[in-house]
Amino acid sequence: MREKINALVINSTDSVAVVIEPLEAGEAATYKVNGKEKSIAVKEPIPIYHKIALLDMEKGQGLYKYGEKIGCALQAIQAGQHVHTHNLVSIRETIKNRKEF
Amino acid sequence: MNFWGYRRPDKKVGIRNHVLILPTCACSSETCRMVTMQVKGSIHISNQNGCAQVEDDLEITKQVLAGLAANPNVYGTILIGLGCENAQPKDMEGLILSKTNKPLKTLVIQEEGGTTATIRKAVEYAQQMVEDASKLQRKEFGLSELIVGTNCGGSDPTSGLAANPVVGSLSDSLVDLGSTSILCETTEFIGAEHVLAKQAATPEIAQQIYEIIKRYEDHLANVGQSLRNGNPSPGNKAGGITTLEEKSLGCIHKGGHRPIVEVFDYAKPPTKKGLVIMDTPGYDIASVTGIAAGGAQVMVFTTGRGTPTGNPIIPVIKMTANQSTYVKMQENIDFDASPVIRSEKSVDEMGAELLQEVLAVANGKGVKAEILGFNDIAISRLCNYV
Repeated sequence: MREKINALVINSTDSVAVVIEPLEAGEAATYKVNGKEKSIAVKEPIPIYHKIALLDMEKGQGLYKYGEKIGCALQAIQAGQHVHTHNLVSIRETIKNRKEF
Repeated sequence: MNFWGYRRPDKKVGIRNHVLILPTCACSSETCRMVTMQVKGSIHISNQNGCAQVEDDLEITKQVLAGLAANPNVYGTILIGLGCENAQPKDMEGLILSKTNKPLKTLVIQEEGGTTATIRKAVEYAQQMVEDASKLQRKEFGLSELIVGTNCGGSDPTSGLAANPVVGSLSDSLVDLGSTSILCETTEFIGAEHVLAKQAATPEIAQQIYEIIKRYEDHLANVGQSLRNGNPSPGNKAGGITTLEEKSLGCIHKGGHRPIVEVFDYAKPPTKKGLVIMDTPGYDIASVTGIAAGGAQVMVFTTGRGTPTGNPIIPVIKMTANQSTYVKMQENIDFDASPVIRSEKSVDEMGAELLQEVLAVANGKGVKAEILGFNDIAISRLCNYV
């Protein structure tokens, strides 16, 4: 049976999805990547429009959304966990330190 | 595709027909408000600046004030100065006349002999100007005459997921139809500048995108401040945005996918058609004011948390893809893009509907902020008053 889509993944390389309804631990987050439906178990409550980890990540690992890096993990993160300020930190330095400049 | 507007003597085309009572400085601001209370069809701006400013700050203020008078939505302007301010009425008059040949009258409170004497004359001028303006009829023009600004404020993850991509689709359509779309909010490019740089039409424009960000960062560093304090805002975070780069990657979707053909300073007019960037702060009210001063006739504004903002000169079309925000703040928000979140409509389908909304507003449909009477103005600044 087709489950209801309740999370959105923007780019197939993303490590997080955005949930489009509040999800509780034990529920399934169901999303589409490249037209294929996938599902993961939710490990803790995720407020509406917040991020859920799609894969296990180590401390210091880069997190991706929009196909781009949005920061790195402050601690190990498990698939199905809530991703927010407690476990994700910005890594953008001032532009002087960037190689493009 | 065409819209109905008012041709001005300087050849530009407006979509509103305001008579502007314009204060050179904070000290003449209240007098301007009192004039508008007596003349229906006239508007004023609240001006906190124009005096006690360092040279570069004063220049920004003067460019904004003159730019607002030159905005094609304005039929004519009555400039009211105090007399002793840094933004001298004569200088301001000259600056406005260098940008436009529309009707202009100037009054100086210290020369007229106080508030009431100034108001009396200003009301007479304004009554005549409103009558003259009312005789103008709308005519049909091509979209090459339309300049549209895009902005986002009170963002949440629905902004980057749906509302901003819908604006991006609108921006692509406008550019393809020969119009101009202005992307702004430099502080909200940070962390996504490499994506924008790839979209630049030339390597020089890519470098300019990096330059305006560096200028901002250096400026804040000079006063011992960091952009990280206050951005993302508490509301952004409560909504689910975690980092500045995440916020920026969502914000830049407003620009769409066409090449960026120009980067220019705050409150300056674009000189090219297509997708362009104005260097503005992320502070919505100041960025909308800068866009209005640059000559855009209309603004499309996305929000996630919900904002009531509106500008006296240009209609601000507000939209959200957060269904609960739309329902809660329907009296403030014009366009519901939440069908994209629910996969009921594609980004391009919603973008086509938004283009129709922009045309309706250009043709005269009042936006929620206009009907509620919003008059938000903020002028960007470099440093403290002196």
